[in-house]
Amino acid sequence: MVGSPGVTVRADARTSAGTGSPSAAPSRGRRRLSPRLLIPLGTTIGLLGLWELFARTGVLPDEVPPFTDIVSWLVDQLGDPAFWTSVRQTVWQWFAGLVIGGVVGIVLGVTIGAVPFVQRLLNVPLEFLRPIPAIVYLPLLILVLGSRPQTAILLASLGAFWPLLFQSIYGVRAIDQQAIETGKVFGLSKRQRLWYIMLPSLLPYLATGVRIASSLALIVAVSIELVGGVPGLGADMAAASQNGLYDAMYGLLLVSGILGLLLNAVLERTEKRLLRWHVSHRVVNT
Amino acid sequence: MTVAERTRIVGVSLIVPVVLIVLWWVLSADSTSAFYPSLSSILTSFKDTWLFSRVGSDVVPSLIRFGLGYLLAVFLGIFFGVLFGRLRLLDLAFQPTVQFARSIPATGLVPVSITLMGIGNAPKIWLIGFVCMFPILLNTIDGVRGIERGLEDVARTFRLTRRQRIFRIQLPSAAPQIFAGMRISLAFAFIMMIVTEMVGATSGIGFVTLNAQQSFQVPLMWAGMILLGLLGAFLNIVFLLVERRVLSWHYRSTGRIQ
Repeated sequence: MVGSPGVTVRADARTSAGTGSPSAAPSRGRRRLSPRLLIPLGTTIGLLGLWELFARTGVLPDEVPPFTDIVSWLVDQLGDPAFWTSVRQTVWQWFAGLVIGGVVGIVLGVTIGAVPFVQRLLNVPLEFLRPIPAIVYLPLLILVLGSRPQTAILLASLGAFWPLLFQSIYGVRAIDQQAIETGKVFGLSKRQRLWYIMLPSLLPYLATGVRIASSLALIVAVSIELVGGVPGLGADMAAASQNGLYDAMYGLLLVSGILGLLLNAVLERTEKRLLRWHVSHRVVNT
Repeated sequence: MTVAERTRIVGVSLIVPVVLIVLWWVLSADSTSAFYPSLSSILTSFKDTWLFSRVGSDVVPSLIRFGLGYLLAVFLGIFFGVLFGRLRLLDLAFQPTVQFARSIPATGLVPVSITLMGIGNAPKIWLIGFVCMFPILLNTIDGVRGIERGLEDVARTFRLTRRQRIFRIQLPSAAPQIFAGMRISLAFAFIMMIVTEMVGATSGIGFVTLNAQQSFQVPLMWAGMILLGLLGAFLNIVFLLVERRVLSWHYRSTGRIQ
Protein backbone atom coordinates (compact mmCIF):
# COMPACT_ATOMS: atom_id res chain seq x y z
CA MET A 1 0.00 0.00 0.00
CA VAL A 2 2.82 2.37 0.81
CA GLY A 3 4.38 2.21 -2.61
CA SER A 4 5.45 -0.55 -4.93
CA PRO A 5 8.82 0.22 -6.42
CA GLY A 6 9.15 -3.18 -8.06
CA VAL A 7 6.33 -2.71 -10.50
CA THR A 8 7.89 -0.25 -12.90
CA VAL A 9 11.17 -2.13 -13.08
CA ARG A 10 9.43 -5.33 -14.00
CA ALA A 11 7.12 -3.70 -16.49
CA ASP A 12 10.08 -2.23 -18.31
CA ALA A 13 11.76 -5.58 -18.60
CA ARG A 14 8.64 -7.19 -19.95
CA THR A 15 7.97 -4.63 -22.65
CA SER A 16 11.30 -5.24 -24.29
CA ALA A 17 10.62 -8.97 -24.25
CA GLY A 18 6.97 -8.66 -25.24
CA THR A 19 7.29 -6.44 -28.28
CA GLY A 20 10.19 -8.54 -29.44
CA SER A 21 11.97 -5.53 -30.86
CA PRO A 22 15.63 -6.58 -31.17
CA SER A 23 17.13 -3.20 -30.41
CA ALA A 24 15.03 -2.54 -27.32
CA ALA A 25 17.15 -4.30 -24.72
CA PRO A 26 20.66 -2.98 -25.42
CA SER A 27 19.66 0.55 -26.37
CA ARG A 28 17.97 1.32 -23.07
CA GLY A 29 19.30 4.39 -21.30
CA ARG A 30 20.38 7.43 -23.21
CA ARG A 31 18.80 6.64 -26.55
CA ARG A 32 15.46 5.62 -25.08
CA LEU A 33 15.17 8.88 -23.25
CA SER A 34 14.08 10.85 -26.29
CA PRO A 35 11.07 8.75 -27.43
CA ARG A 36 10.00 8.51 -23.80
CA LEU A 37 9.64 12.25 -23.86
CA LEU A 38 8.63 12.77 -27.46
CA ILE A 39 5.72 10.30 -27.56
CA PRO A 40 3.72 11.76 -24.67
CA LEU A 41 4.59 15.30 -25.71
CA GLY A 42 3.59 14.67 -29.32
CA THR A 43 0.32 13.00 -28.35
CA THR A 44 -0.61 15.82 -26.01
CA ILE A 45 0.15 18.48 -28.61
CA GLY A 46 -1.75 16.42 -31.18
CA LEU A 47 -4.81 16.21 -28.94
CA LEU A 48 -4.74 19.93 -28.23
CA GLY A 49 -4.34 20.56 -31.96
CA LEU A 50 -7.38 18.43 -32.74
CA TRP A 51 -9.37 20.33 -30.13
CA GLU A 52 -8.30 23.63 -31.70
CA LEU A 53 -9.17 22.41 -35.19
CA PHE A 54 -12.58 20.99 -34.24
CA ALA A 55 -13.49 24.09 -32.25
CA ARG A 56 -12.48 26.46 -35.07
CA THR A 57 -14.29 24.50 -37.76
CA GLY A 58 -17.46 24.22 -35.69
CA VAL A 59 -17.39 20.44 -35.19
CA LEU A 60 -17.49 21.01 -31.45
CA PRO A 61 -20.48 22.94 -30.03
CA ASP A 62 -20.20 26.67 -29.41
CA GLU A 63 -19.85 26.01 -25.69
CA VAL A 64 -16.36 24.64 -26.32
CA PRO A 65 -14.01 27.50 -27.21
CA PRO A 66 -10.74 26.82 -29.06
CA PHE A 67 -7.84 25.96 -26.78
CA THR A 68 -5.87 29.08 -27.78
CA ASP A 69 -8.79 31.29 -26.67
CA ILE A 70 -8.64 29.66 -23.25
CA VAL A 71 -4.89 30.18 -23.04
CA SER A 72 -5.17 33.81 -24.05
CA TRP A 73 -7.88 34.34 -21.43
CA LEU A 74 -5.55 32.80 -18.89
CA VAL A 75 -2.66 35.01 -19.93
CA ASP A 76 -4.90 38.07 -19.49
CA GLN A 77 -5.78 36.91 -16.01
CA LEU A 78 -2.18 36.65 -14.89
CA GLY A 79 -2.08 40.42 -14.50
CA ASP A 80 -5.43 40.62 -12.74
CA PRO A 81 -5.24 40.82 -8.95
CA ALA A 82 -8.79 39.46 -8.63
CA PHE A 83 -7.68 36.21 -10.24
CA TRP A 84 -4.78 35.83 -7.84
CA THR A 85 -7.08 36.57 -4.91
CA SER A 86 -9.25 33.63 -5.94
CA VAL A 87 -6.24 31.36 -6.28
CA ARG A 88 -5.00 32.47 -2.88
CA GLN A 89 -8.38 31.87 -1.27
CA THR A 90 -8.64 28.34 -2.63
CA VAL A 91 -5.07 27.49 -1.68
CA TRP A 92 -5.56 28.93 1.79
CA GLN A 93 -8.74 26.92 2.37
CA TRP A 94 -6.96 23.80 1.15
CA PHE A 95 -3.93 24.44 3.34
CA ALA A 96 -5.78 25.40 6.53
CA GLY A 97 -8.13 22.44 6.10
CA LEU A 98 -5.25 20.05 5.54
CA VAL A 99 -3.37 21.27 8.61
CA ILE A 100 -6.34 21.36 10.98
CA GLY A 101 -7.91 18.11 9.82
CA GLY A 102 -4.50 16.46 9.62
CA VAL A 103 -3.43 17.38 13.14
CA VAL A 104 -6.74 16.27 14.66
CA GLY A 105 -6.68 13.06 12.61
CA ILE A 106 -3.11 12.20 13.56
CA VAL A 107 -3.60 12.91 17.28
CA LEU A 108 -6.79 10.87 17.43
CA GLY A 109 -5.35 8.13 15.21
CA VAL A 110 -2.20 7.73 17.30
CA THR A 111 -4.30 7.59 20.47
CA ILE A 112 -6.58 4.96 18.97
CA GLY A 113 -3.67 2.95 17.66
CA ALA A 114 -1.81 3.07 20.97
CA VAL A 115 -4.68 2.53 23.42
CA PRO A 116 -6.73 -0.61 22.64
CA PHE A 117 -9.61 0.48 24.86
CA VAL A 118 -10.10 3.74 22.97
CA GLN A 119 -10.00 1.73 19.77
CA ARG A 120 -12.78 -0.58 20.97
CA LEU A 121 -14.76 2.39 22.19
CA LEU A 122 -14.59 4.35 18.93
CA ASN A 123 -14.33 1.61 16.33
CA VAL A 124 -18.02 1.26 15.49
CA PRO A 125 -18.92 4.97 15.25
CA LEU A 126 -15.77 5.72 13.23
CA GLU A 127 -16.33 2.86 10.79
CA PHE A 128 -19.89 4.07 10.38
CA LEU A 129 -18.99 7.72 9.87
CA ARG A 130 -15.97 7.07 7.64
CA PRO A 131 -17.75 6.45 4.31
CA ILE A 132 -19.88 9.60 4.74
CA PRO A 133 -18.23 12.24 2.57
CA ALA A 134 -17.60 15.71 3.99
CA ILE A 135 -19.89 17.21 1.36
CA VAL A 136 -22.90 15.71 3.18
CA TYR A 137 -22.38 18.19 6.03
CA LEU A 138 -22.32 21.14 3.63
CA PRO A 139 -25.99 22.24 3.92
CA LEU A 140 -25.78 22.33 7.71
CA LEU A 141 -22.52 24.27 7.76
CA ILE A 142 -23.77 26.82 5.25
CA LEU A 143 -26.91 27.23 7.31
CA VAL A 144 -25.06 27.68 10.60
CA LEU A 145 -21.88 29.46 9.51
CA GLY A 146 -22.89 31.01 6.20
CA SER A 147 -20.87 31.16 2.98
CA ARG A 148 -17.63 32.16 4.61
CA PRO A 149 -14.05 30.92 4.23
CA GLN A 150 -14.28 29.37 7.70
CA THR A 151 -17.03 27.07 6.45
CA ALA A 152 -14.83 25.88 3.61
CA ILE A 153 -11.88 25.37 5.95
CA LEU A 154 -13.97 23.37 8.41
CA LEU A 155 -15.32 21.16 5.64
CA ALA A 156 -11.91 20.72 4.00
CA SER A 157 -10.44 19.71 7.34
CA LEU A 158 -13.18 17.11 7.67
CA GLY A 159 -12.14 15.76 4.28
CA ALA A 160 -8.48 15.66 5.33
CA PHE A 161 -9.28 14.16 8.73
CA TRP A 162 -10.34 10.65 7.66
CA PRO A 163 -7.36 9.50 5.60
CA LEU A 164 -4.89 10.74 8.20
CA LEU A 165 -6.89 9.20 11.04
CA PHE A 166 -6.83 5.75 9.50
CA GLN A 167 -3.28 5.98 8.20
CA SER A 168 -2.02 6.87 11.68
CA ILE A 169 -4.00 4.01 13.26
CA TYR A 170 -2.41 1.58 10.80
CA GLY A 171 0.99 3.21 11.23
CA VAL A 172 1.00 2.91 15.02
CA ARG A 173 -0.09 -0.71 14.79
CA ALA A 174 2.72 -1.45 12.36
CA ILE A 175 5.41 -0.25 14.76
CA ASP A 176 7.73 -3.14 15.47
CA GLN A 177 7.37 -4.04 19.16
CA GLN A 178 10.75 -5.73 19.11
CA ALA A 179 12.41 -2.56 17.97
CA ILE A 180 10.87 -0.76 20.94
CA GLU A 181 11.98 -3.51 23.30
CA THR A 182 15.45 -3.34 21.84
CA GLY A 183 15.42 0.41 22.39
CA LYS A 184 14.48 -0.14 26.01
CA VAL A 185 17.30 -2.65 26.47
CA PHE A 186 19.77 -0.14 25.07
CA GLY A 187 18.49 2.37 27.59
CA LEU A 188 16.79 4.82 25.24
CA SER A 189 14.59 7.26 27.10
CA LYS A 190 10.91 7.45 26.33
CA ARG A 191 11.42 10.56 24.24
CA GLN A 192 14.29 8.96 22.33
CA ARG A 193 12.18 5.88 21.61
CA LEU A 194 9.42 8.12 20.31
CA TRP A 195 11.80 10.17 18.17
CA TYR A 196 14.09 7.44 16.83
CA ILE A 197 11.86 4.37 16.65
CA MET A 198 8.17 5.21 16.58
CA LEU A 199 8.21 8.35 14.45
CA PRO A 200 10.34 6.92 11.62
CA SER A 201 8.06 3.90 11.50
CA LEU A 202 4.96 6.07 11.43
CA LEU A 203 6.15 8.59 8.83
CA PRO A 204 5.63 6.56 5.62
CA TYR A 205 2.03 5.90 6.62
CA LEU A 206 1.48 9.56 7.35
CA ALA A 207 3.03 10.54 4.01
CA THR A 208 0.52 8.38 2.16
CA GLY A 209 -2.25 9.83 4.32
CA VAL A 210 -1.19 13.40 3.61
CA ARG A 211 -1.26 12.80 -0.14
CA ILE A 212 -4.79 11.36 -0.05
CA ALA A 213 -5.92 14.02 2.40
CA SER A 214 -4.50 16.79 0.24
CA SER A 215 -6.44 15.86 -2.87
CA LEU A 216 -9.61 15.36 -0.82
CA ALA A 217 -9.20 18.73 0.89
CA LEU A 218 -8.80 20.41 -2.50
CA ILE A 219 -11.89 18.70 -3.91
CA VAL A 220 -13.93 19.64 -0.84
CA ALA A 221 -12.71 23.25 -0.94
CA VAL A 222 -13.60 23.64 -4.62
CA SER A 223 -16.96 21.92 -4.08
CA ILE A 224 -18.02 24.19 -1.28
CA GLU A 225 -16.96 27.23 -3.29
CA LEU A 226 -19.00 25.92 -6.18
CA VAL A 227 -22.11 24.91 -4.25
CA GLY A 228 -22.00 27.27 -1.30
CA GLY A 229 -20.67 30.37 -3.00
CA VAL A 230 -17.63 30.69 -0.72
CA PRO A 231 -15.18 32.96 -2.58
CA GLY A 232 -12.47 31.10 -4.50
CA LEU A 233 -11.83 29.37 -7.82
CA GLY A 234 -14.97 27.21 -7.50
CA ALA A 235 -17.25 30.22 -7.09
CA ASP A 236 -15.61 31.88 -10.08
CA MET A 237 -16.22 28.74 -12.11
CA ALA A 238 -19.90 28.70 -11.18
CA ALA A 239 -20.22 32.38 -12.07
CA ALA A 240 -18.42 31.91 -15.39
CA SER A 241 -20.62 29.02 -16.43
CA GLN A 242 -23.83 30.78 -15.42
CA ASN A 243 -22.85 33.87 -17.40
CA GLY A 244 -21.81 31.89 -20.43
CA LEU A 245 -18.16 32.94 -20.15
CA TYR A 246 -16.86 29.67 -21.51
CA ASP A 247 -13.24 30.82 -21.95
CA ALA A 248 -13.19 31.65 -18.26
CA MET A 249 -14.89 28.41 -17.24
CA TYR A 250 -12.35 26.23 -19.02
CA GLY A 251 -9.50 28.49 -18.03
CA LEU A 252 -10.41 28.17 -14.37
CA LEU A 253 -10.70 24.42 -14.78
CA LEU A 254 -7.23 24.42 -16.29
CA VAL A 255 -5.96 26.44 -13.33
CA SER A 256 -7.54 24.09 -10.83
CA GLY A 257 -5.96 21.12 -12.58
CA ILE A 258 -2.55 22.80 -12.57
CA LEU A 259 -3.06 23.60 -8.90
CA GLY A 260 -3.84 19.94 -8.21
CA LEU A 261 -0.71 18.81 -10.06
CA LEU A 262 1.44 21.42 -8.35
CA LEU A 263 0.29 20.65 -4.82
CA ASN A 264 0.77 16.96 -5.46
CA ALA A 265 4.26 17.53 -6.83
CA VAL A 266 5.24 19.61 -3.81
CA LEU A 267 4.02 16.92 -1.43
CA GLU A 268 5.78 14.17 -3.37
CA ARG A 269 9.06 16.07 -3.29
CA THR A 270 8.75 16.70 0.43
CA GLU A 271 7.97 13.04 0.98
CA LYS A 272 10.98 11.99 -1.02
CA ARG A 273 13.22 14.28 0.99
CA LEU A 274 11.85 13.24 4.35
CA LEU A 275 11.75 9.55 3.57
CA ARG A 276 14.86 9.10 1.48
CA TRP A 277 16.06 6.47 3.98
CA HIS A 278 12.89 4.41 3.56
CA VAL A 279 12.75 1.23 1.46
CA SER A 280 10.14 2.54 -0.96
CA HIS A 281 12.36 5.50 -1.89
CA ARG A 282 15.74 3.83 -1.89
CA VAL A 283 17.19 3.21 -5.31
CA VAL A 284 17.05 -0.50 -5.95
CA ASN A 285 20.28 -2.12 -7.10
CA THR A 286 19.75 -3.59 -10.51
CA MET B 1 -13.15 -16.13 22.43
CA THR B 2 -15.86 -16.89 24.94
CA VAL B 3 -19.41 -15.59 24.68
CA ALA B 4 -18.91 -13.35 27.69
CA GLU B 5 -15.83 -11.76 26.16
CA ARG B 6 -17.57 -11.19 22.88
CA THR B 7 -20.58 -9.57 24.55
CA ARG B 8 -18.24 -7.32 26.48
CA ILE B 9 -16.50 -6.17 23.29
CA VAL B 10 -19.79 -5.57 21.51
CA GLY B 11 -21.04 -3.75 24.60
CA VAL B 12 -18.01 -1.45 24.72
CA SER B 13 -18.24 -0.64 21.03
CA LEU B 14 -21.89 0.35 21.42
CA ILE B 15 -21.29 2.77 24.32
CA VAL B 16 -20.34 5.81 22.25
CA PRO B 17 -23.06 5.58 19.57
CA VAL B 18 -25.79 4.97 22.13
CA VAL B 19 -24.59 7.74 24.43
CA LEU B 20 -24.36 10.19 21.52
CA ILE B 21 -27.83 9.43 20.22
CA VAL B 22 -29.38 9.60 23.70
CA LEU B 23 -27.56 12.88 24.36
CA TRP B 24 -28.77 14.29 21.05
CA TRP B 25 -32.32 13.22 21.85
CA VAL B 26 -32.31 14.64 25.40
CA LEU B 27 -30.43 17.86 24.69
CA SER B 28 -32.49 18.73 21.63
CA ALA B 29 -35.81 17.63 23.16
CA ASP B 30 -37.22 21.11 23.77
CA SER B 31 -34.90 22.99 21.48
CA THR B 32 -36.18 26.28 20.17
CA SER B 33 -33.12 26.88 17.98
CA ALA B 34 -33.90 27.19 14.32
CA PHE B 35 -30.68 25.44 13.34
CA TYR B 36 -30.84 22.50 15.71
CA PRO B 37 -34.41 21.20 15.86
CA SER B 38 -35.29 18.37 18.21
CA LEU B 39 -34.26 14.90 17.13
CA SER B 40 -37.86 13.76 17.31
CA SER B 41 -38.96 16.40 14.79
CA ILE B 42 -36.08 15.42 12.52
CA LEU B 43 -37.15 11.80 12.69
CA THR B 44 -40.75 12.77 11.98
CA SER B 45 -39.58 14.70 8.94
CA PHE B 46 -37.45 11.71 7.94
CA LYS B 47 -40.46 9.43 8.15
CA ASP B 48 -42.71 11.83 6.23
CA THR B 49 -40.17 12.45 3.49
CA TRP B 50 -38.13 9.35 2.97
CA LEU B 51 -40.56 6.62 4.11
CA PHE B 52 -41.65 6.45 1.34
CA SER B 53 -43.26 9.46 -0.28
CA ARG B 54 -40.10 10.76 -2.02
CA VAL B 55 -38.48 7.42 -2.70
CA GLY B 56 -39.81 7.19 -6.24
CA SER B 57 -39.27 10.84 -7.10
CA ASP B 58 -35.84 11.42 -5.52
CA VAL B 59 -34.12 8.40 -3.95
CA VAL B 60 -34.52 6.11 -6.94
CA PRO B 61 -33.28 8.70 -9.51
CA SER B 62 -30.25 9.40 -7.29
CA LEU B 63 -29.41 5.73 -6.98
CA ILE B 64 -29.91 5.07 -10.70
CA ARG B 65 -27.56 7.90 -11.65
CA PHE B 66 -25.07 6.73 -9.06
CA GLY B 67 -25.28 3.10 -10.14
CA LEU B 68 -25.08 3.69 -13.89
CA GLY B 69 -22.25 6.19 -13.50
CA TYR B 70 -20.34 3.80 -11.30
CA LEU B 71 -20.84 0.87 -13.68
CA LEU B 72 -19.65 3.06 -16.54
CA ALA B 73 -16.55 3.95 -14.53
CA VAL B 74 -15.81 0.31 -13.72
CA PHE B 75 -16.20 -0.69 -17.35
CA LEU B 76 -14.13 2.19 -18.76
CA GLY B 77 -11.50 1.87 -16.04
CA ILE B 78 -10.93 -1.84 -16.53
CA PHE B 79 -11.11 -1.64 -20.32
CA PHE B 80 -8.58 1.16 -20.67
CA GLY B 81 -6.58 -0.21 -17.74
CA VAL B 82 -5.99 -3.54 -19.50
CA LEU B 83 -5.31 -1.72 -22.76
CA PHE B 84 -2.79 0.71 -21.25
CA GLY B 85 -1.34 -1.99 -19.06
CA ARG B 86 -0.53 -4.23 -22.01
CA LEU B 87 0.36 -1.59 -24.59
CA ARG B 88 3.02 0.51 -22.98
CA LEU B 89 3.22 2.83 -25.96
CA LEU B 90 -0.39 3.85 -25.53
CA ASP B 91 0.13 4.39 -21.82
CA LEU B 92 3.18 6.53 -22.49
CA ALA B 93 1.35 8.56 -25.13
CA PHE B 94 -1.63 9.39 -22.95
CA GLN B 95 0.16 9.75 -19.65
CA PRO B 96 0.18 13.58 -19.51
CA THR B 97 -3.50 13.69 -20.47
CA VAL B 98 -4.48 11.13 -17.83
CA GLN B 99 -2.33 12.70 -15.13
CA PHE B 100 -3.78 16.13 -15.80
CA ALA B 101 -7.38 14.96 -16.03
CA ARG B 102 -7.19 13.20 -12.70
CA SER B 103 -5.57 16.20 -11.02
CA ILE B 104 -8.56 18.41 -11.70
CA PRO B 105 -10.65 18.67 -8.52
CA ALA B 106 -13.49 16.48 -9.75
CA THR B 107 -16.38 18.67 -8.72
CA GLY B 108 -14.98 21.52 -10.82
CA LEU B 109 -16.19 19.56 -13.84
CA VAL B 110 -19.82 19.93 -12.78
CA PRO B 111 -20.33 23.37 -14.40
CA VAL B 112 -18.72 22.09 -17.60
CA SER B 113 -21.01 19.08 -17.76
CA ILE B 114 -24.03 21.33 -17.21
CA THR B 115 -22.91 23.71 -19.95
CA LEU B 116 -22.32 20.89 -22.40
CA MET B 117 -25.19 18.54 -21.62
CA GLY B 118 -27.72 20.35 -19.46
CA ILE B 119 -29.16 19.25 -16.16
CA GLY B 120 -30.73 15.92 -17.11
CA ASN B 121 -29.61 12.46 -16.14
CA ALA B 122 -27.08 11.90 -18.92
CA PRO B 123 -24.53 14.57 -17.90
CA LYS B 124 -24.57 13.34 -14.30
CA ILE B 125 -24.04 9.72 -15.30
CA TRP B 126 -21.26 10.59 -17.74
CA LEU B 127 -19.57 12.84 -15.22
CA ILE B 128 -19.66 10.20 -12.46
CA GLY B 129 -18.35 7.67 -14.95
CA PHE B 130 -15.54 9.93 -16.14
CA VAL B 131 -14.35 11.05 -12.71
CA CYS B 132 -14.54 7.62 -11.09
CA MET B 133 -12.76 5.94 -13.97
CA PHE B 134 -9.31 7.18 -12.96
CA PRO B 135 -8.69 5.30 -9.70
CA ILE B 136 -9.84 2.07 -11.38
CA LEU B 137 -7.80 2.81 -14.50
CA LEU B 138 -4.57 3.44 -12.62
CA ASN B 139 -5.02 0.44 -10.34
CA THR B 140 -5.84 -1.84 -13.27
CA ILE B 141 -2.71 -0.72 -15.12
CA ASP B 142 -0.62 -1.45 -12.03
CA GLY B 143 -2.37 -4.75 -11.38
CA VAL B 144 -2.07 -6.01 -14.95
CA ARG B 145 1.63 -5.11 -14.98
CA GLY B 146 2.34 -6.70 -11.64
CA ILE B 147 1.46 -10.22 -12.77
CA GLU B 148 4.01 -12.86 -11.86
CA ARG B 149 6.35 -13.72 -14.69
CA GLY B 150 5.82 -17.43 -14.08
CA LEU B 151 2.09 -17.14 -14.59
CA GLU B 152 2.62 -15.38 -17.93
CA ASP B 153 5.08 -18.00 -19.05
CA VAL B 154 2.71 -20.84 -18.15
CA ALA B 155 -0.07 -19.13 -20.10
CA ARG B 156 2.21 -18.87 -23.11
CA THR B 157 3.40 -22.45 -22.78
CA PHE B 158 -0.18 -23.68 -22.82
CA ARG B 159 -0.81 -21.47 -25.84
CA LEU B 160 -3.74 -19.63 -24.30
CA THR B 161 -5.30 -17.23 -26.73
CA ARG B 162 -5.06 -13.50 -26.09
CA ARG B 163 -8.65 -13.49 -24.94
CA GLN B 164 -8.06 -16.35 -22.53
CA ARG B 165 -4.95 -14.66 -21.19
CA ILE B 166 -6.90 -11.49 -20.47
CA PHE B 167 -9.94 -13.09 -18.87
CA ARG B 168 -8.34 -16.11 -17.18
CA ILE B 169 -4.96 -14.74 -16.14
CA GLN B 170 -4.62 -10.98 -16.25
CA LEU B 171 -7.95 -9.82 -14.90
CA PRO B 172 -8.17 -12.36 -12.05
CA SER B 173 -4.65 -11.68 -10.85
CA ALA B 174 -5.20 -7.94 -11.06
CA ALA B 175 -8.58 -8.25 -9.30
CA PRO B 176 -7.43 -7.39 -5.76
CA GLN B 177 -5.90 -4.17 -7.01
CA ILE B 178 -8.86 -3.40 -9.27
CA PHE B 179 -11.13 -3.74 -6.24
CA ALA B 180 -8.94 -1.37 -4.26
CA GLY B 181 -9.45 1.20 -7.03
CA MET B 182 -13.16 0.46 -7.18
CA ARG B 183 -13.47 1.20 -3.48
CA ILE B 184 -11.89 4.64 -3.91
CA SER B 185 -14.17 5.22 -6.90
CA LEU B 186 -17.21 4.26 -4.88
CA ALA B 187 -16.55 7.12 -2.48
CA PHE B 188 -16.00 9.50 -5.40
CA ALA B 189 -19.16 8.36 -7.15
CA PHE B 190 -21.13 9.10 -4.01
CA ILE B 191 -19.58 12.57 -3.67
CA MET B 192 -20.25 13.31 -7.34
CA MET B 193 -23.82 12.11 -7.06
CA ILE B 194 -24.46 14.57 -4.24
CA VAL B 195 -22.65 17.52 -5.81
CA THR B 196 -24.24 17.09 -9.24
CA GLU B 197 -27.62 17.14 -7.51
CA MET B 198 -26.77 20.20 -5.48
CA VAL B 199 -25.62 22.32 -8.40
CA GLY B 200 -27.89 21.53 -11.29
CA ALA B 201 -30.82 19.26 -10.70
CA THR B 202 -34.55 19.12 -10.15
CA SER B 203 -34.61 15.85 -8.26
CA GLY B 204 -32.45 13.68 -6.05
CA ILE B 205 -31.51 13.42 -2.39
CA GLY B 206 -28.82 16.08 -2.70
CA PHE B 207 -31.27 18.43 -4.39
CA VAL B 208 -33.94 17.95 -1.69
CA THR B 209 -31.39 18.43 1.10
CA LEU B 210 -29.83 21.63 -0.24
CA ASN B 211 -33.22 22.96 -1.28
CA ALA B 212 -34.50 22.35 2.25
CA GLN B 213 -31.59 24.36 3.63
CA GLN B 214 -32.21 27.22 1.22
CA SER B 215 -35.92 27.31 1.96
CA PHE B 216 -35.23 27.02 5.70
CA GLN B 217 -36.98 23.68 6.20
CA VAL B 218 -34.37 22.74 8.76
CA PRO B 219 -35.75 19.37 9.95
CA LEU B 220 -36.01 18.25 6.33
CA MET B 221 -32.38 19.27 5.74
CA TRP B 222 -31.29 17.21 8.74
CA ALA B 223 -33.38 14.28 7.51
CA GLY B 224 -31.69 14.51 4.11
CA MET B 225 -28.25 14.55 5.70
CA ILE B 226 -29.12 11.52 7.81
CA LEU B 227 -30.35 9.65 4.75
CA LEU B 228 -27.18 10.52 2.82
CA GLY B 229 -25.07 9.38 5.78
CA LEU B 230 -26.92 6.08 6.10
CA LEU B 231 -26.70 5.57 2.36
CA GLY B 232 -22.94 6.19 2.34
CA ALA B 233 -22.40 3.69 5.14
CA PHE B 234 -24.75 1.19 3.51
CA LEU B 235 -23.08 1.37 0.08
CA ASN B 236 -19.72 0.80 1.73
CA ILE B 237 -20.98 -2.33 3.52
CA VAL B 238 -22.51 -3.69 0.29
CA PHE B 239 -19.22 -3.09 -1.50
CA LEU B 240 -17.22 -4.91 1.18
CA LEU B 241 -19.59 -7.89 1.03
CA VAL B 242 -19.34 -8.09 -2.76
CA GLU B 243 -15.57 -7.76 -2.59
CA ARG B 244 -15.30 -10.52 0.00
CA ARG B 245 -17.38 -12.80 -2.18
CA VAL B 246 -15.65 -12.10 -5.46
CA LEU B 247 -12.17 -12.20 -4.00
CA SER B 248 -12.77 -15.12 -1.62
CA TRP B 249 -10.30 -17.25 -3.59
CA HIS B 250 -7.69 -14.54 -3.10
CA TYR B 251 -8.22 -14.27 0.65
CA ARG B 252 -8.10 -18.04 0.97
CA SER B 253 -4.90 -18.35 -0.98
CA THR B 254 -3.12 -15.54 0.86
CA GLY B 255 -4.42 -16.90 4.16
CA ARG B 256 -2.84 -20.23 3.38
CA ILE B 257 0.51 -18.65 2.73
CA GLN B 258 0.41 -16.87 6.04
